Amino acid sequence: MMSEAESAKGDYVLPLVLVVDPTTQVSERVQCLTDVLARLSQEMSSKRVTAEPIIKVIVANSTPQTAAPYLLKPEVDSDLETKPDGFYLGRALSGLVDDVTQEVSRQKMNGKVILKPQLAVIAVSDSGDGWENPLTEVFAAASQYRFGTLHFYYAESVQSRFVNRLGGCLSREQYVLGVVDSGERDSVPRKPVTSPDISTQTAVAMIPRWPSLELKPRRRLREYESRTSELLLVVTDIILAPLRLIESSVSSVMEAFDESVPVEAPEDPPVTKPTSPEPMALSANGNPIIGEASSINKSPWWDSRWWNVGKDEVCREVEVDVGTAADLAIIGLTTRGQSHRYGGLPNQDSFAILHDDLVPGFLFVAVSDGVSNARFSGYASRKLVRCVVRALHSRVLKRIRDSDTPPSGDELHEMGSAAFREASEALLSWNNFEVLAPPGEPDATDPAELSATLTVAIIPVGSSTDGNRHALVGFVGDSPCYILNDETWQLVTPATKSGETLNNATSALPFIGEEGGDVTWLDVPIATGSTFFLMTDGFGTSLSSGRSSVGVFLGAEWGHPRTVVDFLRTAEFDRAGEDDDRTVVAVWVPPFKSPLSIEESAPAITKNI
Amino acid sequence: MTSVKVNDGGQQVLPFYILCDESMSMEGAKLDAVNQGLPKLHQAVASDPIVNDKVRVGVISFSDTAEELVPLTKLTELTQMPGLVSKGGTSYTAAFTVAKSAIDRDVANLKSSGLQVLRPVIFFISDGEPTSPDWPTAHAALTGKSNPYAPHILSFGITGAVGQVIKDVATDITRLGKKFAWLADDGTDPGAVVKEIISKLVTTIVSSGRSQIPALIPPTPPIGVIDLDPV
Repeated sequence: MMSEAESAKGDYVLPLVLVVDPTTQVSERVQCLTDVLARLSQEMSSKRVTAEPIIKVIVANSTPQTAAPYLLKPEVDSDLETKPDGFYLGRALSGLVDDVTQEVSRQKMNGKVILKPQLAVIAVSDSGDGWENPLTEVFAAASQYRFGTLHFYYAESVQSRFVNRLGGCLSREQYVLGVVDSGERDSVPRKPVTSPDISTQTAVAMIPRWPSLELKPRRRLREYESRTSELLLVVTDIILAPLRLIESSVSSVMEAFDESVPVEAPEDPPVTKPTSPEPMALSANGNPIIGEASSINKSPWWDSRWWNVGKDEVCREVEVDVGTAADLAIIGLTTRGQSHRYGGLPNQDSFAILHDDLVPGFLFVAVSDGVSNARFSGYASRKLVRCVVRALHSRVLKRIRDSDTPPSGDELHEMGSAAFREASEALLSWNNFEVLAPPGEPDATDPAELSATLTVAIIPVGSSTDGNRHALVGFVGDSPCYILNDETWQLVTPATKSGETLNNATSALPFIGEEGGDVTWLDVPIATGSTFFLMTDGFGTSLSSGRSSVGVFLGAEWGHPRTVVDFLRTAEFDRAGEDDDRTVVAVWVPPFKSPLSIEESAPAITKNI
Repeated sequence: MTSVKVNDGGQQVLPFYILCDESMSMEGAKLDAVNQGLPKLHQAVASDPIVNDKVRVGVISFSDTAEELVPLTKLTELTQMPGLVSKGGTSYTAAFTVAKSAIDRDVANLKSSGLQVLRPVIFFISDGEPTSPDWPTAHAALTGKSNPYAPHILSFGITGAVGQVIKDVATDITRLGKKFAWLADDGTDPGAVVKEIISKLVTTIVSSGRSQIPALIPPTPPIGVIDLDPV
């Protein structure tokens, strides 16, 4: 039991179970283990930690022996029979959940908040019994007191026997691997080439990273004493790293148990969750994670040095427009991609939305994606979208003043293509005060440095168009148009084959010489209650045909108008490899599906601490 | 959630393999340079979050037999890289055979986790004449049309290698219209050349991983190295 002084230190308790392969001869060095654990608890009290570990050591003999049951200052029983007779991981793990449950309940009665137990295993020989099922059970979702993370140290000689099979028991986020040198050598010794010191910041960002540990086999027993400090390091790190994370308020590695579970009845079934979908895991920067988390979001942006303000005067991190145009509801959003955050470059995407009383019947929307190799494509995309919607607007305005009949499809095509050409021309000259303007003179700048795609939509507004609303979509390049209806996506513009290199002459503005100038136009019917989108490939690539995990996520989130804050959160989903600038203009056509009540929709994206 | 059959197309990865000679003739400065270069590769990739998510790296060494020292992996998941040691002869056959089986297994694994895998790239480094005369067969099995996962091979010959052989090992990269085969000049310090080669290799991996449309961005030859297939 902890003394008053110790329990005053914090309200969190971290159970740690260490399962040790007895053939490492750790068990014989009982005295050393006691030293290790004593020094560990000294370290705990000297560090500014707000949680306490309680440690149990299991020596995985054929009859598992407990060396130190759940104490802050564990004493190792020196009478322990420690003759190693093989490594039995399965037996060591069986009954562990019940054991932890008992201990956890006891701790909860002292008013502590229990953090997810951690399991560390050191294996240098093959296990004499089956271990996959006991291990799966320890981490199984059904168990209320399931463990959080497995820290698995193995000797290279048994790598395949454990490591390959771990994937079958646990998901990749649930385990961390490290290599132990068992002392076996092949005929030509390899000197390990260890990784150089990585700075603390990147180390934190690449959590978890464990130092590798060398344990010698029985014939070099005497050297073990010098290894106790390394064992101490390893065990200390296993405990301290999650605690440091708690201190810096980074979620995702540790979760506190649900406090509302009654203490008196550990055998009660776990509280059933509401039928809304499982809360999504969030990255360190608050992004909902779809699939594999990205490395850049494993650390808060202010800690990692991987998120840099623009080398230009603005980085256009997030731009949002929101509002209604007659009967339509619209949100336009562009956010800077991870690769530009890392490189300190500005957002190279842009959008524009235009509707006014002079041309009340039409909504003009444009998106543009700056070609990444083009140095000034950020300037280009922003200028193009603004120029093209204004050029379109002024042409349509003149046309409706000249005649009462509404413009035909053909006339809109012509006006649209002329607007593209006008925007392309406008791109080729600038003055110094324009946002992100290139530093040199227009005459001296290679137009290829201004490359960007452009996709434009002319959408009729007003309830008179209901049931028969057709948008006109014109594009140069690969920024796509989608329709979302009843959580099903339809890609309207042609799909781009992955890996295709764009031919700049025909797939981007500015139009150069006689080539190009060709805008493709599509007639797009928009059903009532559906949603119309223009996007750049920052979304398009992961959305692809719509039958993708991102498609399922966005299909559920974007089917109805949202608050700006909610929309931004869904747009900033985290996914490894998706690091391009992201732009979307969403146009919702009534009747708008009523959003889920606040209680139902909120848990879909809830922080876990 | 509705039950939609998910067909994820978004996440692309670039697999890179370093296929390195550790025959007796590589002993000393050359292997030391490789062993010093590998942690630098690890650092450059593992500390760049954008590149790290997009590339996977593996290391295969060969002498009389070939061995996978580092199975294809995301570099932040690697805690240690075993060093190369010199031993034995120079069996290109073993090198290409093991490379093929590694690629077959690794690409299948990556695909089964829903990733889009781009064509693997092998950096082949050798300093000597191949001691196995039947290596072209193994090479053809690896790079021929019958192998759907046939990799690009960029080959680097250190002092002692046979120029024509190095050129034959490299594959034609159609998109760029040439092969990438380099041979160190006679008289250049082999350790320094290897160091340069490793550093070019790192640049290639990093710039390929950073490019918006993931693709191989091949290196330019360092000083003291001849391009065997100039445009």
